[in-house]
Amino acid sequence: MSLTIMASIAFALVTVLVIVMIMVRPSLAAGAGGKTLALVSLAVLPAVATTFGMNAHLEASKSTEFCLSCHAMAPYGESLKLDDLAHVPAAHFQNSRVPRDHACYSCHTTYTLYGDAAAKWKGLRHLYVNYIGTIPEKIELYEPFKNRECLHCHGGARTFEENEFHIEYRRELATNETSCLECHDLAHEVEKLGELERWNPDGE
Amino acid sequence: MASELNRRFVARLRLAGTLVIVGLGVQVATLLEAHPYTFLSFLIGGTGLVLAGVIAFIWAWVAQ
Repeated sequence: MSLTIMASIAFALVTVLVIVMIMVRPSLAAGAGGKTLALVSLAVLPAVATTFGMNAHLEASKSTEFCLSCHAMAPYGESLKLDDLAHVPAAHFQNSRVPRDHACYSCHTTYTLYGDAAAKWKGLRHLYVNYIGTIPEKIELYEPFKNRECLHCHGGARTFEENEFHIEYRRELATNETSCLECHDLAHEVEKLGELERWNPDGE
Repeated sequence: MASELNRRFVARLRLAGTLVIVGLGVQVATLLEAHPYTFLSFLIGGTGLVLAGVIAFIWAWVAQ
C-alpha cells in the first residue's frame, strides 16, 4: 500500500473521529466556536479527505494492474510478455526501460485518469465504454502516437543521439514529421498473439 | 449548553454526520484496491454521500 493511500485513509479516519465526537456531544457545536468546529469537521475536513482520496485513486490509476483490470486490455498486457525484443513494448517492459508497475502510463499519457482535464475526460469515457457502452472490435489510438512519449526518455540519451538515422532525422523526429514507429514498427501486435512465443523468466 | 441547540438542528447535524461518515467509510474501503470499479464507487458512492452530508449540514445551519 502506497504512502498516499495510507495518508488518505488516516486523514479520513481522523475526520470520522471528530464527527463522531460532535454527534455524541452536539453541545460542542453550540456558540460561535462550536459552529466553527462543526463547519470544519462536517464540511472542510470531509472535503479535504475526499481530495486526498481522489488524489490517491488517480495515482493508483497509473498502475499497470489498473489498466489491465479491464478485459479489453488483457491482450495488450499479454503483448508485454512476447519473447521477441523487436516488439517495442515487450522490449521496454522486459528490460525495465519503463517501470513495470507503471508500464502503460509510461508511454500512453494522453487518455488516462491521471493526466490533464482532457486526458481525465477520455479516461472516464473509457470506463463508461468498458462497463456500459460497446467496446470497439479494434481498439485504436485517438491520434497517431506522438514521438514526445519516446523522446521524454530517449531524447538526450547517448544511444539515441549518436545513432546515424536519428542524427539524420533529428528535426523530423522532434516535430513528429517522422514517427518513431515508422522504423520501430512492432508495437502491440495483439492479433498475432496466438502465433508468438512468451517470455518465461522463471523457466517453467 | 446542549439546551441552547435547537432539537431539529441536532437531528440534522446527526443526519449530516452519518452521511459523511458512511461516505468516508465507502471512500476508505475503495482505497484498498486499485480497480476501475473501486474508482467509480469512490466517485459516485463515497463522494456522493459525503457531498450529501455536507449539504445536509449547510441546510441544518442555514435553517437554524
